[in-house]
Amino acid sequence: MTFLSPWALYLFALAAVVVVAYFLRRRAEPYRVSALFLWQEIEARGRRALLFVRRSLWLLLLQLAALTLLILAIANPAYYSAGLSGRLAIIIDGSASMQVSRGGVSRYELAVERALELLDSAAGELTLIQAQRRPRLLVPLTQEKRRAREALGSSRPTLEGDASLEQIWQLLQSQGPLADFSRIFYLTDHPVRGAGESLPLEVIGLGEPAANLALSAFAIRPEPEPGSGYSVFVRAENYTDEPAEPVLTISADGAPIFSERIALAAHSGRALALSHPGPLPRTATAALEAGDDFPWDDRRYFAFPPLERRVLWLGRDDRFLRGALLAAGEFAITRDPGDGEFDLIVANGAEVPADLKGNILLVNASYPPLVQLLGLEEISSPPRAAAHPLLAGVEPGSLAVARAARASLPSGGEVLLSAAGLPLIYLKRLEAQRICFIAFDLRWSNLVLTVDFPILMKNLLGWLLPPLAGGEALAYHEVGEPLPLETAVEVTDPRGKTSRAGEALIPELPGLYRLDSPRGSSYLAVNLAPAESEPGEPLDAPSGSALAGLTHERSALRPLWEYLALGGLLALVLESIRHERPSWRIARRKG
Amino acid sequence: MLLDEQFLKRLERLRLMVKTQPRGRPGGTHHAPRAGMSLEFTDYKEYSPGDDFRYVDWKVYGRLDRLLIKVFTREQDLPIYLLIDKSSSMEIGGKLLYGLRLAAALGYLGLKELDRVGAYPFASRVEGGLPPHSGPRQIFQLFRYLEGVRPGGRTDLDGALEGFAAQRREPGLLVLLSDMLTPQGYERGLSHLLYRRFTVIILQLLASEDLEPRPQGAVRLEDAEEGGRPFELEMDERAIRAYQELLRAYLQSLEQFCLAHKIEYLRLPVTTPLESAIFEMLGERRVVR
Repeated sequence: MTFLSPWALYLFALAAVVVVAYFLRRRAEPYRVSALFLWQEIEARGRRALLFVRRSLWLLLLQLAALTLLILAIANPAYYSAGLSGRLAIIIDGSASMQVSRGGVSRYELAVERALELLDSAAGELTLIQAQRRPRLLVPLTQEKRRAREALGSSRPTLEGDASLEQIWQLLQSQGPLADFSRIFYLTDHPVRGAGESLPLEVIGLGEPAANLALSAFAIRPEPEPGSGYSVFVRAENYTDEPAEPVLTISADGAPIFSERIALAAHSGRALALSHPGPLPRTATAALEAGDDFPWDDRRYFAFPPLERRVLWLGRDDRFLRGALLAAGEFAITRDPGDGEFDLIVANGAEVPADLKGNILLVNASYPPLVQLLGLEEISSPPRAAAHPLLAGVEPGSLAVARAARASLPSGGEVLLSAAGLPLIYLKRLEAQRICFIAFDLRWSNLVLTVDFPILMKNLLGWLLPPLAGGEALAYHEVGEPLPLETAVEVTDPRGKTSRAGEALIPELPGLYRLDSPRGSSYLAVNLAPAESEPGEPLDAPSGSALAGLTHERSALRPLWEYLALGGLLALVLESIRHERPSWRIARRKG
Repeated sequence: MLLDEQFLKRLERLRLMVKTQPRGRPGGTHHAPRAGMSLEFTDYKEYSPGDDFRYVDWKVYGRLDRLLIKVFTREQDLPIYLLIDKSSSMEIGGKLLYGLRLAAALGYLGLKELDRVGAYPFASRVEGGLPPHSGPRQIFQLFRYLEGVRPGGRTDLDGALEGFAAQRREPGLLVLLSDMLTPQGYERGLSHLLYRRFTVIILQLLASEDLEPRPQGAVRLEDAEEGGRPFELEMDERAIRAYQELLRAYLQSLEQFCLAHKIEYLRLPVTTPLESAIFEMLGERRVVR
């Protein structure tokens, strides 16, 4: 048995009101007398005594019963249908948003509580999985409930992003064919997309929307003119029902450069762009004094990779693209293809020679034989964004593209952005090469004027330029995202703890990580996945095409509120009958 | 059936007594207040001019040399009026049923003595009723009539009794069966009856709810006859004691009025068994013998 809306239990405080009203209420049962004129003489004294009248105890009991039943109905109790036979899988969302806490109880604790109830009902084999960016098997298939209970009790939520269903299924398949599972319960606070109808997946929603303020994006880029300072981009979100004015503080290399109260309307975000004349810092931090349900997203970090990357620039120069490139790290840009090897080739309206190898960013450019431009098309419909991690923190709703190139693209790639079926941003990953194709000249779009541009470019460059060994890190990294390291690097985490990372670093906390290697030192900024800040949409009320394919079954939970509400109403009717019965009796006698 | 056969048989032994002899028609068993033609010799009186010579006792004149007139009493029947309060307040505690049974018993006693008995239920005024007649047939008519009486209406003793007296009925014995609880008063109505030379017996019927109400907690007091504004009251021991004091004063006032006006008054709690009420309580007061 569990309560789906446990906050309603606070309404039991109303019982005190009912009890007080019972003693104070002045309604009394009718009583007929032969000589009212004699009683009238003692009426005044009687009136004083009526301040504390005692009425039929039945009425109080019925009122309290009705109140109890109605409050319980609002609290929405439910029990798990008995007899969870067959092979059972319980998946607990262990992502960062599960640490949202209301009333001293976190979503993860709620999930564990309900998972334990499921365990009680389980009759066969079961397995437990904790789902986050890197899902992990808590308990392999077993019939030992005790073991599963212990594993649940000792499990803790992470600060990682959400898991992909593919990863979960892979992990589940390691325990046996998916078809062998009779029930798969997913206890989570966010919608689950693309689960497919064939799987016996039952999503159990947890928690209410959090009262949360968040920083969803933070980036720094140098001004195009050398020595003219740098720009700071930050986006703050207010996911609460009330307007807020938190203090936003931005620090560069540990020294505050901005601290002001910013106004945030309810359920809206605000993007800020600030210029600062000082030298480009190595690290920067943005912090919001929010005091909300989820403090982990109140800070975001940024770090510049210190080591230069070699970039070959082909075609027309574009100061916005150059600026975005420089914002993503230290780049040495050259136009001479004979200089040697390049980390990245940027082609802006030009053709990249086929003999050049490496990671390529094509902006309205071709790369035969993989990418061929076929002609221009006018774009009349707004671009549509795919659900892709590279668009995290990017709001494509305000983006407008006037025209774009139609191109023949290699198959098997990913479309990030499209308009009327025409890919606008396309990614193709080959064995030793990554290609990003932007189908429009940046002058044909308002993209460069939006705050999304540096963030999008940061993300795209992060995908195009895999981290190099020896401390070359990306400016944007998420908790739980593995960072491959070729040589042993000494890592100092945000708590100041130093360790050898081995082949890869998997950051468990958001913050600034210092990476020391023989090639030098650099910083890695690790942030929370922006999706963790958003309150989950209600699972039982999907709406709009964005939620198409959402699985929101809750059949394992049998709600009881209908019966309780009916009982409460019945108690009210009984109370009413009992209260009115004396009057009816008198009326009948008179009749 | 208001009275069972066994009870009626017991009533055979009783006789309704009337202290003040009313006028009536010849034929009953009650003595008329005036001398008259009858078989029953009563007394002698000195002759005075105008007396009927036929009644001069000449034998006495021969012996005593005095002219004495023989006086005979004539036996008369007695009109008995049973006035039964049928107002809504009489429903409380079964006062009306008790009153109807008592009326039936008294009516039976009257009819048994060849008197004329009539029944008049009333609330605010007397409407209709069973006119007084004598004879065995009237017994059944009386019983049937009383069985058909239903409660209802507001009591107005003054109005009802005054109206009854104003109808210039033949004076007789008037038995008033009522709880006598009325804020409008009863004095004027009773005075009218006395003025019209009715012999009045008041049998005040009171329920245990009237005499000893039990604590009810918070109640909304309503008049059984929808008179007066209802109000809420904590009916506790204290309130009940205060009420009983007021009731006692009210009853005393009624009793004193009856005493002053030579009205036979008897208070009958309806919890008293009917037999006890008739054979003991009415017997003690010499209403029956």
